[in-house]
Formats: sequence, C-alpha cells, structure tokens
Amino acid sequence: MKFSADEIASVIQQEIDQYDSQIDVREVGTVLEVGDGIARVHGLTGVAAGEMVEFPGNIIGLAFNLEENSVGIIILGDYLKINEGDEVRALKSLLSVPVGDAVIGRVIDPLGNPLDGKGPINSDETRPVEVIAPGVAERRGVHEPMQTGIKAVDAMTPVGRGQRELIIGDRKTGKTAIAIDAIINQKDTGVKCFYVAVGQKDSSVAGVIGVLEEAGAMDYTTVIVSGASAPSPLQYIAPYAGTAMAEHFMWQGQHCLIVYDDLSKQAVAYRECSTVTAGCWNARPNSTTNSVAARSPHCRSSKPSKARSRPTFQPT
Amino acid sequence: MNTAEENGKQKTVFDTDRQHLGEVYAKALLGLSQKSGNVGQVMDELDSFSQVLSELPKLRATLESPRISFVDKEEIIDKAIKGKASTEFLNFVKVLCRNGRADCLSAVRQAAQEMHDEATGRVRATMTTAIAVDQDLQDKVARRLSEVLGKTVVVHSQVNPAIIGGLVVRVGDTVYDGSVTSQLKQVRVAAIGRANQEIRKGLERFVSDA
Repeated sequence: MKFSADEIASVIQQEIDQYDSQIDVREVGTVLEVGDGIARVHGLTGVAAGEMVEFPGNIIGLAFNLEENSVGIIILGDYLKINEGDEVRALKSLLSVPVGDAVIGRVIDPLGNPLDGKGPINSDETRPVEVIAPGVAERRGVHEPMQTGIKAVDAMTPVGRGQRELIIGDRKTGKTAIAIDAIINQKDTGVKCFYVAVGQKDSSVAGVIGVLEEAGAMDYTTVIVSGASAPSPLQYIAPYAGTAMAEHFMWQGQHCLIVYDDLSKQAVAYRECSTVTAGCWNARPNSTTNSVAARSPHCRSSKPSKARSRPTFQPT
Repeated sequence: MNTAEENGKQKTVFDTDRQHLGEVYAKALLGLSQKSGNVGQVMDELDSFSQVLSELPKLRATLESPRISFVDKEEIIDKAIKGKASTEFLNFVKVLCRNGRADCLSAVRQAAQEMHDEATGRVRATMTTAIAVDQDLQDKVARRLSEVLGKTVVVHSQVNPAIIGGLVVRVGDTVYDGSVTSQLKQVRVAAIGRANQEIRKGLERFVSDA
C-alpha cells in the first residue's frame, strides 16, 4: 500500500488557493510562576472565570482564580513544559468537550483526546463541561428501572433511570465489579454507558476496558480516563467531562448510565488544586496552608522562595 | 525540570509586589501634582530622573543601598535635583528614599504613566515589524488604531526579523497579529485539517497498491 503524494499535494494546493488571510486578534498574558499544575499569569485582563487559555505547545489551561494583578490558571496538561515568561492566549470559550456518536466506543481523556490509538474524535458538536444542572422542579420522578443484572441489588435495592446510587465499601470488596456488571447488563437496551476513571491505576483501567471489550460492551460504552499520574486539574474535571458527554444523549431523549470511579479521588484532586493555588504564592507564616503546601519545591520561578505576610494595610 | 540554580539565572519577568508598590506611590504622586496643577511637569521630571538613574548605576545603587543613611541620601538628592525640579517631585524622591523604596522608582514611573494615560484617554501600543519602518507608517498605524479604539494611541516601534513580514500591534493585553509567520501557521493548520478531512472521506483516493 502506498500513499499518493500527488493527491495529497493537490488537496493542500486547493486549500492554499482558497485561503483567506485574516488578522489574528488575541488576548495574551505572561507566565509569572508555574508549578504543581498551576500557573500564575500577568495580563489577560479580560479573561473570564472558567475560560480556556492556551500555553505554548498547545497545552490548555483553565482560568481558576481572578486576582487583582494576576490570573491563577490550572493547567490541563504537562506543566513541566511551561516556563516563566511564556505567552498565554485566551481562547474566548468555556471548557468544552466533544460529544455525540463519535465518542461512543472510545477511550478518551477528559479533554476528549483519544487514548486508544483509533484516530481522532471527529465530532462537530461540543458541550461546555460546567453547566448548571436542572433543578428539582424540572425533574420527573424515577419511574423506570435500570437493571444492574445482579439479583440481590435489583430485588432489594433496585436502581431506577435518573437515580443516583452510591456503591460504598472497603477496598477490594468488588465495587468496580458491580459497576462493570451494570454496564455489561445494558447490552441491547439502548442505554449508553460512560465509565469515568479518576485517579485509578492505568493497569486497572486497562483491565476494565479488556472486560468490557470481551463482553461486547464497548459498542455502547465510552471510557473517560484520568489516571493517577494525570495532572490533578484533569482528574478534577474528568467527572464533569463524562457528564457533559452523557447529557448530550440525555437531552436527545436517550438513556445513559454513568459510573464515576471514584469521586473520592476527584475530591482529593480538587483539594490539591485549591491548596496549591492558594498556598503557592499566598503563604503566611503560622498558617495551616503553610504546613500543607506553602511553597512547593516544584514551583518554578526566578524569585527565591520566601513566606510573605498578607498585607493588612497599604505598604509604604 | 529546571534546577534551583537554573531558576536563579532566569530573568524575572514581572514583580507584582513591586508593581503594587509602584501603583500606591504613583497614585500619591499624581494626586499631589493634580492638586498643584503641574501633572505634565511632574511626569516629565519622573521620566527624566528615571533616565538619569538608568545612565548612572552608581547613583542608583547609592539611593537604593540600605547602608547609606537617609540624611546622606537627602544631601545627594538635594545636590542632584534641588532647584532643577519641582518641590513636589523633590519631596517625592525624598519620601521614596526615606521609606526604603528607591528600588521601586521604575515601577512608580510605569504605574504613573499608565494612570496618566488612562486619565487623559491615551493608550500606548507597540508595533513590531520585520524591518525598521519610517515615521509615516507609524503615524498611519497610530491614526488607524485611534479610529478603532476611540482613544489617542501612541505607537512605539520595534524590530523582530522572526515575523518575516507584516506587522504585529500590541495594545495592552490585546495583540493584533498580521505577521507573515502567523499567516503561515494558519495556512499550515488549515491545509493539514483539510487533508485529514479528505483522507477520512475517501482513503482509496490517496492510496494505491504498491
């Protein structure tokens, strides 16, 4: 099999002929400090909370903290590739993920990037990751069953469509197994399944994917993976991303089952993001923040590390 | 990951602490000069004195040094600018030195310039071109930006051969990038995207049996 260079060249030539040049207008800022998945940026005066920004190397970030003279940004990628002085541009959009049939059967990260080596996710539709959920008054009561396939559960504590169910237990007691059984049992029911792995071992997630493939469940399941080695901001947004993808089908009148495995690790990741954002450059002597994450050795800046008191008056 | 030693060699991009101090002192200086009605003169004196300090690093080091008493510093300041600058500015420099903030003078100058520009409806822009341009082009760009932004625009020009051609204008945090480099990047992204799309539509068109 041989690629025809002439055909590819003709496509590119056509694109160049039709190209309409436009001035690129962008809002920019400069990185002041970066470390532990968080960057502090000077500039970006018009950036909104939750807006996506882009670092050099196509690394995406999310504006988290809007401070007086700087913006705290959580980095959804490898922060080690970002340096002080790098230019950051605002993307003028909220964090969104690709949704639709293109994600079904795929293993992806919380930003929608494929991890299974089966090519890019070709979807024209996206949904914002953070949305306000419908209120109680807009919801109907649970009236349809969602069979897990486990007799004890379906008989004694049945789960309905639209219901949230917590699977709680000590480690190695079979919590994930119950969730996977529920997914496998949705075969031929029209229910789309989403498995969100947060902070799990990649080997464990690979095992789960293997089981789903063996049972034929990957035909209607999407696996969103943010492993233990993923940056904490990515672990934080993983459940939101999975929910956005599932809600796309929900709003079309279809049924979805979404499994979060597990939200404890998402809480840890969120706390890590918040602590590092607050503690990295607002460390106060004798404060609890100081003892937890006052100044990370991985925080890279040309300024020497020192604890600073938060000023309570205008300095002169 | 950079080592601490490598971090120590990296130049600081921006010091927000110093910027905050600069804003405080700039606000005080401008408030005082507005009261006495000589804002323009004080701004010129501030620019001029900053220029002098940058050309005389020993004078700057003396004023910033904590080992030299304020009395001695006051004497030096009187010798340098008394009689040549307004009373407000002279007192301002003395207060700055007395409070140990002489190293914030450049931050004060920058903050004062920004506040004064905002008060007078003026905006500063930086224009980057691949080769040096004449004043006529700078004025044209300034006029056009003034029309778009509705403010008086003062253009500062700089050269960066890396942009190949065209120009890049930065106003505050907004960049208007019409450089050849940027357009080549856009063409590249568009061409690759289109090629991917066509290949996905019909792979057999691009593949032949070897």
